[in-house]
Amino acid sequence: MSTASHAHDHAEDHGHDHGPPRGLTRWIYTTNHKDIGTLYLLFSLLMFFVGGSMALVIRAELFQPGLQIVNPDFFNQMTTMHALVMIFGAVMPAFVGLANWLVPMMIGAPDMALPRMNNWSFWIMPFAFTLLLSTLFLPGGGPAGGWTLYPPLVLQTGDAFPFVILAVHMMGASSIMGAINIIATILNLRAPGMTLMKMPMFVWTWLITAYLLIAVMPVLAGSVTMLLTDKFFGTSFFNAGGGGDPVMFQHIFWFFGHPEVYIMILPAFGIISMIIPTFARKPLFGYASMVYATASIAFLSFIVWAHHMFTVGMPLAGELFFMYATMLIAVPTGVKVFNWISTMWRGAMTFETPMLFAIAFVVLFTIGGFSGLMLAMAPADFQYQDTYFVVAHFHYVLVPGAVFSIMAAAYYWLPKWTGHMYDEKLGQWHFWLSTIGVNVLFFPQHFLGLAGMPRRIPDYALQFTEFNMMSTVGAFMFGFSQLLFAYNVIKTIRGGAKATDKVWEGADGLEWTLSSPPAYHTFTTAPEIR
Amino acid sequence: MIAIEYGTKECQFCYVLRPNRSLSWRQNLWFLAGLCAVTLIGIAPLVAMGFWPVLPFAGLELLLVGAGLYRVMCRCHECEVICVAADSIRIERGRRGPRQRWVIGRAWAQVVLRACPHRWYPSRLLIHAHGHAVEVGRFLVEEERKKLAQDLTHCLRGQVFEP
Repeated sequence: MSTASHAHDHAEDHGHDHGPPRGLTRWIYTTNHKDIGTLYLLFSLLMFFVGGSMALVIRAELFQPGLQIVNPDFFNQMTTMHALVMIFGAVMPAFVGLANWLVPMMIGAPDMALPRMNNWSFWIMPFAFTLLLSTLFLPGGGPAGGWTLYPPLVLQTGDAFPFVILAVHMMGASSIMGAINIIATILNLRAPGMTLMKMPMFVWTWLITAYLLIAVMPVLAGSVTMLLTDKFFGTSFFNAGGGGDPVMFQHIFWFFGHPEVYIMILPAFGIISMIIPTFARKPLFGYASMVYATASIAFLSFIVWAHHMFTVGMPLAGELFFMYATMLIAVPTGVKVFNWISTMWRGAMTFETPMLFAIAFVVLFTIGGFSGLMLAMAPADFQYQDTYFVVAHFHYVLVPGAVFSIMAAAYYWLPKWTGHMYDEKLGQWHFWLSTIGVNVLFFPQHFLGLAGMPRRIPDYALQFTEFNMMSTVGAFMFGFSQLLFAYNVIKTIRGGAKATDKVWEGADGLEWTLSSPPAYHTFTTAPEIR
Repeated sequence: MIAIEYGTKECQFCYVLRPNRSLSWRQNLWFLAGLCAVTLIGIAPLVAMGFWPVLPFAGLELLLVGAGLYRVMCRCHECEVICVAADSIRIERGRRGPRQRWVIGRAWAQVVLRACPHRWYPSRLLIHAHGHAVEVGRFLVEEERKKLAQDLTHCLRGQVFEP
């Protein structure tokens, strides 16, 4: 006798869309890549506002010369915390969140390869940032030596110091676990037929980013641990009095720090490479060259670190090497910009909000790239070092670069995630206010830097007043326009016009074959790759 | 993925079940070796100059990467063989060779596809006999598990048609 029984429940009768459990425990115990992606993205939005508020404190103080709002020590705490929060709390988690949502859907995998580790890697973050932000209330305040934590200055931090180091370790552990998960997923769980050279560019850029993360994170962990032992255990790794070398900290830090810069921009390249073809209604120009350019940038990122420290007194040969190696990065980056423009060339372009952000990215990131080339020239860098020109340069790369790409991604995939179209008019208002705001904010800083205004100062000479005022007006314009973004996101999550499965006419990729919103478990049937 | 063999020496029908995997053991090992090489080459000068605390962090991290990849590879290389003979069903599970083996009387076997009582998890496919149950195809995707349940049911009823 042989029989078969099929014990179906209600959910199974409806296409196996097992819905998520409800309540807080869903979010605490979840191992679902979509839930974890959502958690990362919401966390990063929160941190974006926390870090942004700190930036507004900085800009409010700099509106006019003299000390008006905060004392210099708190100002320095704000500059340090703003950077740490924005880099480790806003930009990196946003990209990890996007990877969580999109990588499995783009490669046709049912979930991330190590779902429990995925849960841990997210839930470390809120504790790390609570720890970091709580240092502002400790005796002596938070860290004030800059996000680069250069000794001996950073060793003067008060009670906050060990907490900051622990928080940095926790952020690093979270990043490493995220990277391991992404690597294991992309390598092992691609759908049949999804060869490496058929992967979407976002997946490629994240694979390379994860590789970079794993390669450099131990260096950060080791360097901050050495700071800790120098402070509390009497070692002299960076203490000149004990035979150590503080300049070596800068070498070690930037050996981590420069790849970190690319960790924050490579996924942005991937996003832009997904969005431009959709709204130009043409395939990406030069896919293979884009992949090789990304890999080249990643390789070069390991051999250019000392361009951050040309003025420490390096041998001439060292300066020449790092100068030319840095300039070399312009070649693969130029390939990318050329390919994005070629993709748009004679395309049937439309200008929805994601495309506007993508075009702004190409233009404004290129401005940041050019100022980077100026900084790469060692003799010129001796003049620019530690001036507002550097501040303008890296903010052009990170704000209209990385942050704009995240916003473009949010508008582009939000209809897929929520099943609702966002408010296009509000999106366009957000774009224009942000773009005007960001340029009013950062462009005058080039002139301030060229005129000699140093960075990280709460007060300045009178001749810098006008450009600082402009910059502050731009900061508040940019900052408050982000409320439109938050409102638009919340409004879209709560309802709105129904999004189609494909959402965008020109969109291409496996994620667009799923319903909008996608089922809780997607690709429980492996898709067919053409 | 399910592969079916018909009319082998021992089995009338033999189902070989494997999860989807896009990279082989060897390729994973090469990847890990490359990652270790890049990381260790990067930190070797630092360690040589006396900044040794970087080394344990790198070691720990690479161990974690290795453990993560090993776990995923193990899961991706899991294999189950369901051999339906004239009077018995033999189920074997393992990676390189059979690690576990069950033999069930064909006449008493029941195929049960059970939807999980918790909506969070996928369904489970069980082969029951004499109060014992063996779960098969845990790593299959939902559609494949349903198809396998159907095929096994027909097979046990003697209704399977060769393609």
